[in-house]
Amino acid sequence: MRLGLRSRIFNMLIYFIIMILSISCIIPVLYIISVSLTGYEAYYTNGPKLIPQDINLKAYNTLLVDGVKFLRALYNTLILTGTGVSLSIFFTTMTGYAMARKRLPGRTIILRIIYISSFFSGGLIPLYLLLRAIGLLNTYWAIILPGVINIGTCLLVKNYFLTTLPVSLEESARLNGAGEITILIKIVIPISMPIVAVIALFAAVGYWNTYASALFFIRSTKKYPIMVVLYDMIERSGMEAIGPRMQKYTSPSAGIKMAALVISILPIMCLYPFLQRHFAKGVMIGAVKG
Amino acid sequence: MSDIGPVSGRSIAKIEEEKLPSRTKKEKAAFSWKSLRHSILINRYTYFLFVPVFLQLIIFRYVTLYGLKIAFLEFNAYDNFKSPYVGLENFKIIFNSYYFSQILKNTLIITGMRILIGFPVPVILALLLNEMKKESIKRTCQTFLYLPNFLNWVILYGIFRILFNDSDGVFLRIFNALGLKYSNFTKDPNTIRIWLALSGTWRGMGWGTIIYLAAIAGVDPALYENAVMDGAGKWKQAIHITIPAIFPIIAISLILGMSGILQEDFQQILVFAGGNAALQEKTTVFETWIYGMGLMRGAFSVATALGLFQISIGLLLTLGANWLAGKIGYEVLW
Repeated sequence: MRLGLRSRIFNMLIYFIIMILSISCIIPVLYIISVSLTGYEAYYTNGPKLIPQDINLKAYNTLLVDGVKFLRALYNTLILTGTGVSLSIFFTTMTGYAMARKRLPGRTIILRIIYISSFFSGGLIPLYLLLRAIGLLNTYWAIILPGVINIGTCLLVKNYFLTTLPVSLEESARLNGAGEITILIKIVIPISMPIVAVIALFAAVGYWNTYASALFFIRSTKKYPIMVVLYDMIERSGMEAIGPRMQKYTSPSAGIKMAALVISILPIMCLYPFLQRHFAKGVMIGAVKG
Repeated sequence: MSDIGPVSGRSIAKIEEEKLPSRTKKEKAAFSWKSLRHSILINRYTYFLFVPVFLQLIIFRYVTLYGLKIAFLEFNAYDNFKSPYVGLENFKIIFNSYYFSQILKNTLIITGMRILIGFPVPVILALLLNEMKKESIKRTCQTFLYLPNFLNWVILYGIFRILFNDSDGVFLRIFNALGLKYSNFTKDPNTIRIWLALSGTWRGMGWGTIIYLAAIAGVDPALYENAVMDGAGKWKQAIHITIPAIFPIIAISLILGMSGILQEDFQQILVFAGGNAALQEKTTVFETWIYGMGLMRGAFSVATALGLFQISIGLLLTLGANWLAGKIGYEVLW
């Protein structure tokens, strides 16, 4: 098909715009990696460059050796995310599966109640007071529990099960004498692995990125997850993050801050290739099928 | 909490267009108590599966809803039973407050800008992406585009600092090289609100295209073929076929977005303006005010009253949005 000149220019323009936007999304990350690897003097003379000069790992070294609070925050976040993701997977699959059972009496009402309830909430203060009354304040449960089952994710799970679990499969299993538990273990669980991956990845990103909830509900600085400590490093002096052995600098150098950033996003960046493939597809299936 | 999970309650309505199963005439006629009991018996375990989600809803939504009552009390945080009923006193304090009009203005402006700038971009981007024929480039670009969505505002803020810094940033050096003067617009109270909208748009534009791309993919290709045969160029195709076809989704998103006008992604504001007193005036919105008043200063009643105000308006707007969506012929929630 012969493309007219105007069409071709149009086409090139489209590619150009999209590529610029895409690059704009990745360049900032490249910058922080670069700065984290740049030597102290080189950075403060020449400024941040895309390609690091005087590459050394000193920033990482200092951070990992002296950054006591940073490391502790990292550990905290690992625990928080690990627990949160496990619980989230368990309960969300449960709920999504239940939502997918078409023949359930009262299903319509139950689903409606769930959807509508997701629009209500008491707000921040009542939540805080409730958590205080229960005694969950200053624990990670305060961060995990209020959102452990995300309704949006449940919908994805529901649609997934609706497309992959035909009723005939279950019926034939029952005819062959399988009880509820057997069906669950031998059929449902193996089939649900892909969607479990999606839930896990969504939840992991969500919990890893916790910031506001931690600010609201956690009091002791020892329990802060990594985003809180990071913010302190970037915005304020960051003495919270670096231990007292930093005598060379009064506040963490840019290199160290960037090293901290890089370490913080490392897990997400590692998971990202997997995320991207499953997420986009999963969300799309959920959206189109409806 | 909205910082967990990729899909907020708002987009549920977008995703869930399913018409819940209705019974056929034959099934209706065959209804009997006996068959109902039989169904319940077979499925009894399934009901148990709903327990966790209902627990979560009851505890964290309905009980907190009840907790809103302290908006009408002068709450004594140390001894709950000694809180006297003060009626609308707390509300009066808020509305008469020196800060109220400024904060309302901030909230409306910030959300307004977010919608104005942030709404069209994913749509247009989706349309453009749809035109990309080369799959490999398209997929790489998409991978890049989705990335900022997974990075939290703290990280992004750290990145912006390096880029936009006054004393040492990337843009500073570029501007200097070009002979232009540079001032850090990300810290300037006059431009901070636009910056919030711009950066928010940039972050969400990639991920936002997913829903629209899905909708575009659902358009019947035969329509496009006919249009090409009639001699329509790409532009005409887009205007006359694509946009009308995905119009329902656009409309729903827009309406839902607008109904959220009083409640917004305040994590971004917390991060951008948290340490910076100069920016506070122009960026404080309802949620940050609630946080400041309530959790930081302990004025629980007043903060809750404000929250109640915000929630009620939000509810009204959501109901209105839903009704509007219904009028477009799109059954959303009920």
